[in-house]
Amino acid sequence: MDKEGKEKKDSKDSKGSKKEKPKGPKPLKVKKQEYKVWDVPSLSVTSSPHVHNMDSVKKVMWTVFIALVPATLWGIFHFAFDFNIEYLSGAFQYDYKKINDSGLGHLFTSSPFLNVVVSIIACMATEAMVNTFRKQKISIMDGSAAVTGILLGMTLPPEAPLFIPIISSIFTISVVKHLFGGLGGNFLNPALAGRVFAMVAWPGIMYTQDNYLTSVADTKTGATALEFMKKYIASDPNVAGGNADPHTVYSWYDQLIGNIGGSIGEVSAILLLIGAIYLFVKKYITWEIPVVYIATVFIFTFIIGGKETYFDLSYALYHVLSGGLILGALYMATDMVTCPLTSRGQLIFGVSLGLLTVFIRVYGGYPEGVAFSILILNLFTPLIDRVTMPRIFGHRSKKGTA
Amino acid sequence: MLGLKRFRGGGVHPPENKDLSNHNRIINADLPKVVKIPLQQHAGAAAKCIVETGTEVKEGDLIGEAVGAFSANVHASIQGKVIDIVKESTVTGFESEMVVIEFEGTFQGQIGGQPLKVSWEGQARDVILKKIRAAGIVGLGGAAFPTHIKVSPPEDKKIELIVANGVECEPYLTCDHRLMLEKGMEIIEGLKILQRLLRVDKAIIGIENNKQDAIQYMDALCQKEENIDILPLKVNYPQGAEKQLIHAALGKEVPSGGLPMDLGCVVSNVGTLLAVYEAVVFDKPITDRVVTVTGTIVKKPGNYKTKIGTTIQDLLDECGLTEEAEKVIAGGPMMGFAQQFLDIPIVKGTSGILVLSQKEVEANEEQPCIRCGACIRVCPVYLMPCTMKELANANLFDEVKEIGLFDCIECGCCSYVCPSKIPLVQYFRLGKLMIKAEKHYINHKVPTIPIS
Repeated sequence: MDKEGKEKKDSKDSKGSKKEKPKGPKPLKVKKQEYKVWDVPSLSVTSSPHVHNMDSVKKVMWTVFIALVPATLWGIFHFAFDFNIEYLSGAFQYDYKKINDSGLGHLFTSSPFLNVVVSIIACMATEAMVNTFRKQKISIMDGSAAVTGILLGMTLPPEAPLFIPIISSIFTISVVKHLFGGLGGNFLNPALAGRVFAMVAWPGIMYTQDNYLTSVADTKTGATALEFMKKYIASDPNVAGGNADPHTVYSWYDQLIGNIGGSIGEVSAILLLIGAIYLFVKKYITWEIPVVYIATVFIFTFIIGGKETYFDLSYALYHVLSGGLILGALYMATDMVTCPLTSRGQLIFGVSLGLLTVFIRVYGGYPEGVAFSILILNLFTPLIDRVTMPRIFGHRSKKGTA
Repeated sequence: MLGLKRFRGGGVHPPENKDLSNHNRIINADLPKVVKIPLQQHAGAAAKCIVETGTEVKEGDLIGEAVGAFSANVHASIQGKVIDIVKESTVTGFESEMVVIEFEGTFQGQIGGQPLKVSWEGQARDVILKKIRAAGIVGLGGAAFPTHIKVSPPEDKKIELIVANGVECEPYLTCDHRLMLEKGMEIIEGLKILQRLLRVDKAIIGIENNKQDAIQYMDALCQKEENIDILPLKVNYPQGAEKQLIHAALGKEVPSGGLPMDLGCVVSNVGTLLAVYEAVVFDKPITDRVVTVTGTIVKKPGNYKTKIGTTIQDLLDECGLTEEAEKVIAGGPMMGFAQQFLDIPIVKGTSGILVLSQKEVEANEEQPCIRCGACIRVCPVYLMPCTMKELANANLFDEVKEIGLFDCIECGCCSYVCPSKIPLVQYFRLGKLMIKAEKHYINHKVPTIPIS
């Protein structure tokens, strides 16, 4: 509009400076254009295009949120009621006692439910507060804080005390997101940054779940599948869960459905996959990162093999289905703000993620490496974007990179 | 529809909305009382005015003479008297001198009664070229590139293929569609004239798949023409853009900064072919064109044969509106120009007038970029619009130029899909203007924004 106004003003000047008006009958029938900057036009003038596919940030974010809900619900039910689905028979199993004693009321007071809800609310509240400090419009309804909240909740252990989601949410929204410019400005995935923040701040709670969860009778909610594997490979007989072969503790079916221990939202691979397919159909995520990431992990672990052998298929499958890989690959590595823009960049990103994750999982000190590798690769995103600029139409080779 | 060609990479498919007007036959619009004919209707230099106030003109008389090689003639579109010569803004927002003609006398039909038909087969090639030049023919698809330049390639460029552009990828517009259905024979004759002029054997007519009736009709007409093929294309905007159409048809990319003739191609809109035919056979200059007047709130949407210089107001008065217009666009919704005033004349490049109501014009609040990459996936020239926008926002126009600002064809795909509703194309237009202004300042030491 500024430009428009300026042009009009210029034209007025040039008209004024026109020296001689052509003689002859005056143009009475032609209405002269009114060149007044202050003239409020009845027609709206914008730059083309004048149509839009009606996508919005709000729609994108809430769609991602909805895609995450099934896996989260499974996690809540699974950890609150020991809810499982048996192999072959498909029969439901759950803790009758908990249901009979307090019915569904137990659900709403259970730790996994509260963890997820509290992190969503804490993220949105922090967003609103920071908006107020920054004198912005309150942007909680655009859904980006809600997505960060649900993702953060999903990565927490089911029995985490509630101060963890609250403090992590405050940290991630105010420091990771808003200190770097708010929506679209963060260079790390906010949910993962919050999760790692919690991991570094309270390692006792976040990692040694065996000790923390001694009160929980069921060992299944105790150690995560990856911890089992780590101990099995290390053959440490002192830890609970022993050095039982993890493949016998958790079958591939249990891992796919989610009858395993782990963080709240990461256990059910199948529901996460369904949500991601929904997002893919909606074109909110691309196939490159998740497919390449998971494939790299699969191939790499297949080659290095388990305890004794190389080329161990069950070991590779175990690595793919357990831990945060599915959640991380489908929803966090694909986070629009922090992943590379071009398809080639995303391929590089996916391969690097896969390699780094396996390195950390197998050779590093932590049983899980998804969060770290995604955060590390997030830092490389600007560089990857810079070197993977597409060749412009009609150019032989890539023109300069700026 | 598998197996149909389309250009590779990018593009969008907005709702077509062609049903509003694609069944309505082309009809003559009411004769305007007053026309305003801009002397700058085409790419290149403005024509030089050769009439003055008070001059009596007849329909088809030359009023603006082409200046230099890269320009085009302008003709009076009605008979009458020149009552004023003014300088006002045209549909594109830039200013041009305009010849205002008031209608006088009685209407005698197109070019004073039945035109004399001459056979083009006997005419010499330079005569044909001269006629095309004299008739002021420019590309009627929108860009208004002078046709006589297009069809006179330098000696070293061998033209092997003529592509007739019946793609009409812009939503809402139907004028080319109707032209193919109603003037198919003449369009093919026009194509054959160009074939003779350029000594080219092969020609294809590219038509998008959503115009099945036009494909069938043109195919039937081309049955006996051995050298003309119909090429049905998968619907994909912006396939009607010259370089994208060549990419779809041949799978080859026109070099950046080059012209289709670098690949041995000449692309011409079907409306232009009709104009070529009329110019060569009837000696008729461009005095009118078919304009699609459309929109859900237009009472009589349709395809109107309109005199050049008719104001948008006159045309809309004839078609009628059911409610107040919020936005009036000259051209299609993707690349057209929103108009602030309605007393702006229709020019050779105006293919449609689209009227949108309050409901259809949503206020887009710009939000921060979330780097979703949608703009990159739809860009038909493989740019990175979001990165370019960030740089343009920081006034780093030279950097934007580095990563392909001048390769942008302003098709609007990126803005169309942007979930943050960032007016990306506007940033790029601004960037181009800023760079041109800077260059102009360096060369001339006058701080003005150069026109076009």
